[in-house]
Amino acid sequence: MRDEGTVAMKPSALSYDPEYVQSLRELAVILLLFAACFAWTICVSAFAGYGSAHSNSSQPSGVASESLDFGDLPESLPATSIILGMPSWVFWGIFMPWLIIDIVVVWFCFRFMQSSSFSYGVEPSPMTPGEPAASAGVGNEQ
Amino acid sequence: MNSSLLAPQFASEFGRNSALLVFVLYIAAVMFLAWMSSRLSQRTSFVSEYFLGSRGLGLWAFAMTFAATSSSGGSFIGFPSIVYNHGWVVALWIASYMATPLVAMGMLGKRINSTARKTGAITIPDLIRDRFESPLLGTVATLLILFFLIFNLVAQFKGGSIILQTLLEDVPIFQQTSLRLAEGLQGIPLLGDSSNKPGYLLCLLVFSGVVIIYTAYGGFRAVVWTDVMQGIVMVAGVMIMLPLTLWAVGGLRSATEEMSRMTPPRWVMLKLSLTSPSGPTPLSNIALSSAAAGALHPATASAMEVPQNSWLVMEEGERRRVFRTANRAMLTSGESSAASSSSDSLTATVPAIELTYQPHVLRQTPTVLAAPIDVQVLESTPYQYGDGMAGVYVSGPGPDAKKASGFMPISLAVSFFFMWTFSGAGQPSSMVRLMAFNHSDTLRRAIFTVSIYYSMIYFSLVVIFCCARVLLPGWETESDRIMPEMARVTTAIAGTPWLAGLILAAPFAAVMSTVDSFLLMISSAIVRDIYVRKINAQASEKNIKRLTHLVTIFIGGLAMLAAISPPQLLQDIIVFTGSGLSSSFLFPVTLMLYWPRFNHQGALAGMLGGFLCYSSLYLAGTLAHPQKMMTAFEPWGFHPFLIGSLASLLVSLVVTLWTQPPPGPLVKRYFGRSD
Repeated sequence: MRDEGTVAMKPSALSYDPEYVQSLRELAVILLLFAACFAWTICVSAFAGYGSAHSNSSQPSGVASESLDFGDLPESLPATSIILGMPSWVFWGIFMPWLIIDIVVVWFCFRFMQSSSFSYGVEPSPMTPGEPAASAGVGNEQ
Repeated sequence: MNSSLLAPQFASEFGRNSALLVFVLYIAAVMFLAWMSSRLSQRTSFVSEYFLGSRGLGLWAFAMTFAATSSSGGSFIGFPSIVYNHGWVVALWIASYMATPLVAMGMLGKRINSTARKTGAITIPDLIRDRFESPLLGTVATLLILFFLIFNLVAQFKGGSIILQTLLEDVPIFQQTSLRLAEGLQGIPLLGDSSNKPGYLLCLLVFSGVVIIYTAYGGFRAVVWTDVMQGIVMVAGVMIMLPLTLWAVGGLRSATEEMSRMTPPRWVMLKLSLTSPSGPTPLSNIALSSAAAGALHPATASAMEVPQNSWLVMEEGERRRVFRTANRAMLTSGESSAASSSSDSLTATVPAIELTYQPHVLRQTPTVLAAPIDVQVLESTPYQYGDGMAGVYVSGPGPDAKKASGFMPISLAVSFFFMWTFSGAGQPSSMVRLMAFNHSDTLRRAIFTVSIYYSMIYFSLVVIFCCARVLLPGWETESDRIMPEMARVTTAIAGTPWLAGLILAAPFAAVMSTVDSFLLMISSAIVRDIYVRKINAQASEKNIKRLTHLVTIFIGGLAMLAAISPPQLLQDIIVFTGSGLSSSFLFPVTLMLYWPRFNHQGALAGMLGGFLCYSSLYLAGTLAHPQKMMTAFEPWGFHPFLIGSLASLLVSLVVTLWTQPPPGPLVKRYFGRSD
């Protein structure tokens, strides 16, 4: 509900709260980090992790058979290389970016992200019934 | 190592009772925390304390409540089942959890907390209403939350009860109490109908009772404190299970190498027959328990039970075939077929899987039954993707029994990468926690803590349940039970069956921490956003307190009654409601925190646009596939959450730019430099 007598203000005419501006910077970095994780994980996994399974020579894929003949199973999958016990595409495409983002989070939380001087820790008077809403800075909706 | 041989061991009396002991201790701790919380709340304002913990959450309380609320029963039941069924590709399915704490907490945390403090908001509808000074927006937000969360609550009650049942089903005292309860409820409307599932009913009553009491009694702080305990239980459970699993399987490399040679099983339909010695000679014979042979004779017996998950082994000369039943089968004389029509034979048909990986086939021992039975394969259905393919469990898109494109084509991987991260950020239950931390330093440390927490839990779960494929073959028949089975097997192998109880408390803790949060959100929506705001603004604190307790008990009781005969599609409902909330709230809330030009018309259009688009996709999918409820239409293979969220963003932007800018003082208040 719009207060009578108020006028629209062009955002450009506003002197922004520095904490809001800092929050915008932090938002931009968060979205960039997410985009980097996304690009790395999806690209590496798509190129290295897909399509390396193969059919057993004696058992055509997707063919139902009453009498199964499993034939000679391969000793191991040729396309699968293993690093630290996991398929290499999982290591490079998921484990490594996960590890790196955890390290980047340390930088983000303890270096880049700033503490706010906002009145944290001070509980504003909760809007208990009977108390005018405006006392907590709230527009009266009645 | 032949894990199946361990079955009798891990069902030891001690192991069984440890689950009950851990459960009783756990419930006692939860109740103690609720009592402590209630004592504390007597010294502060009821509304702020009960619904928001007086905005005083420190690091551990804030981090753990955020993490635990995000992890529901799906994290410890559904997710392990998916890893088990599809292999290493599920690491990609869950990979976006690497960035989820950063995005979900960092993107909104500071701004939502400071805005809530400026307005004095206690709930999310409070915040939205006050930010725009629009009662209509608050009402719409309240109704959307109620619509989605009430459905979700019923599904979560069912999930919690099933998990509890899995925990306790082997405990003799639980079995006896269940049967007594079923007898006592005979003839009572609604409750009496559930007498054929007495274990579930008992678990539902216990689970609901505990959650309702401690939530109603202790409020937000009790929920947060129990979340902390539950979060610790979850990570402890996983961290105990990981080394036990790696040790049992001989190392991760060994497990992955074996997985790279595995081929998926096949779904088959079996005909089971208990045939008289004078009856027709079956073409294919099976050997079950030779020791039990003759214990049951078809001429004298009227029925014979083959339990669910029974191993049936068929020997045909040199060739061995191994099956595992997916359902319980009751052999009776009512069935007959051309192959074995005989008046003196007991028969049944039952779905099952057939192992195709030769080392598993060779080492599997049969289940001991009351008498040997004959097995005939009526029908065999290969996996739509992965049948006969080695390496399918260590590469994408992963095997799938029903989809020819595999479990996760790359387009779906893209969808899930966005979905887990942004769906988590858009949950009102997560947002309300961001309003409750006490200082921005707490937020910074909590983002780091939850990042490490998720890394420890989710990647470890992938490792554990990939190893489960090697250790426990054949659980495709009932893969939702793989978590408790792994807990029992790994602790038995390590000679520490008492640890199973602690590990098994993790999934129970996960679902409980989600349910209590949702219950509190619903009661806050009804009491704070409807009663106080719309009906009686002058209500005394005493009346509000009484009403809050009554509403929490009433809503909890209602959900419990609905969960007696719950809808079947548990996981589908949870996904529908969780994603639906995010589609409706994510962008309107983000824009209201960051975009000064955003106005109440844009916010209203964004919430309703996201909701309508998302619901329409589900409605279209359900109409197109009436036999499969809760099926969404997915344009270009993208999940409705993505489409709904994008629609919400687009509508928010267009409507805002099309209408008047917000009043200057309002903009200055939330974005301007304070004088």
